[in-house]
Amino acid sequence: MNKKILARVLGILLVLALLLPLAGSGVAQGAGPAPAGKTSPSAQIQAIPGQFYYLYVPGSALRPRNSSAGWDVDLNGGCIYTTNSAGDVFNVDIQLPEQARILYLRMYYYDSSATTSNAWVTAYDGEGGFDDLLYVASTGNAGYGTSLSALTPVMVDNFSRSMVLNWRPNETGNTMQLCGLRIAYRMPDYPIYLPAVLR
Amino acid sequence: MKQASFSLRTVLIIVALLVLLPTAVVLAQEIISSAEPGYVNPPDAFAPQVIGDDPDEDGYVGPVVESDGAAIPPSGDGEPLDPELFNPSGELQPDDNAYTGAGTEAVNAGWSNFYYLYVAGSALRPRISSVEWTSTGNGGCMYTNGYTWSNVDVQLPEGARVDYLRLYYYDTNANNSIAWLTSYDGAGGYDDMVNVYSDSNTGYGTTLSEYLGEVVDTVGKSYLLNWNPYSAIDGTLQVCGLRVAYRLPTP
Repeated sequence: MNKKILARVLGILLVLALLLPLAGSGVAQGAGPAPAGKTSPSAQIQAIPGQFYYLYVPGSALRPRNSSAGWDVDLNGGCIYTTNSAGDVFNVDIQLPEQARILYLRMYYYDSSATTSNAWVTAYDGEGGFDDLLYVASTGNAGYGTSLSALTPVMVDNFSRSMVLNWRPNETGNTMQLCGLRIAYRMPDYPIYLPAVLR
Repeated sequence: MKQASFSLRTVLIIVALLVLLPTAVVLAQEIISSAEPGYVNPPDAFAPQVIGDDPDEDGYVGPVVESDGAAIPPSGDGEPLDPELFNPSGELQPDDNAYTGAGTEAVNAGWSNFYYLYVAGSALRPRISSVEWTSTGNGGCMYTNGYTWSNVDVQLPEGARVDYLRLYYYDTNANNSIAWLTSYDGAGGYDDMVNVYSDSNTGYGTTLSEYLGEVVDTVGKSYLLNWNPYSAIDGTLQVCGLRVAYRLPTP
């Protein structure tokens, strides 16, 4: 009889154990941010003008501008290098808030080569014109490292030009790898409508 | 009595499984990694991060090296940016903020000025691996050697209203290429929300889609910009840029 009672108690506990994760999940969902559709995307928010914002892209997100250039990634999956084409450029699209002011481009790399690689923030006008807005090169040959561009203020103008991050390895093989590119920018000093993806 | 004993054993086994199963799941998650098998993070290559010790960090007060404007290695060949772009006459287009064509005011009540998402053509890639792609000259345009679509992901703000798609192209062909803004529902469904054709054979140009006026739904849909050379794969039709003009609802 006692065993029967014990079995019933354990059975109840078992049911509770099964229900608990579901209840927990419900609580967690309730405690999280409101669904995207419930919040007005246009609520005015004040960007902090004196503060740096960053757009940081891992090296392995870039792809060659020409399919003839082969590429591979380091074992961690974050760094990229070319397997056969030192001079080909790799790129990736970037989207920055209108009228944000870009100040710096930082490159993260693995460089055990005697040469240096180059990176740019480049703008295009859609009719064949281009402008290399910011530029930075890898330095040294001691392995992982980072280098910073000179201070180069540039205003984002999404009406007139598209922008990409470009990287040219100047060396084939894994002795020259791109591990990341980071743009430091500031927001305009007045209230703006920030796209929800930036919040 | 014997049956009760069996039930008790069964219950205990199930309880034990309930305890062990989440542990096994957690362990399995730790084993599955995005890195290559066997990869171990190296010792930190950089000194511990100190916010404010570099010019691109908040709080930095040291010397700053400004760009001296000296020549840098170019990322491509071609002309510098043309400030006149494609509108030398200065005539406003429907996707310009100052445009005031018939009916604009009523349609845009409750909506902000235009925002733009502008993607370089060379940021697109074929959506199948058997097709080769080429970007020549300045590095902003691209074309493929196959009649297939190239695409690029776009992230638009939830609740924004997409009004126009603009295509920037290179076209020296008698026929035209075509671009779309397309949404996908993740279950095999798609919707070509709007399209636009290239329209000339004299080289660089731009064309604007018809008005769309569709609200972005990032809960239910993903979005891509698609482009297809459609008529030629020899470089006479290239995509040089795609620009989405959208508005945000005002409070």
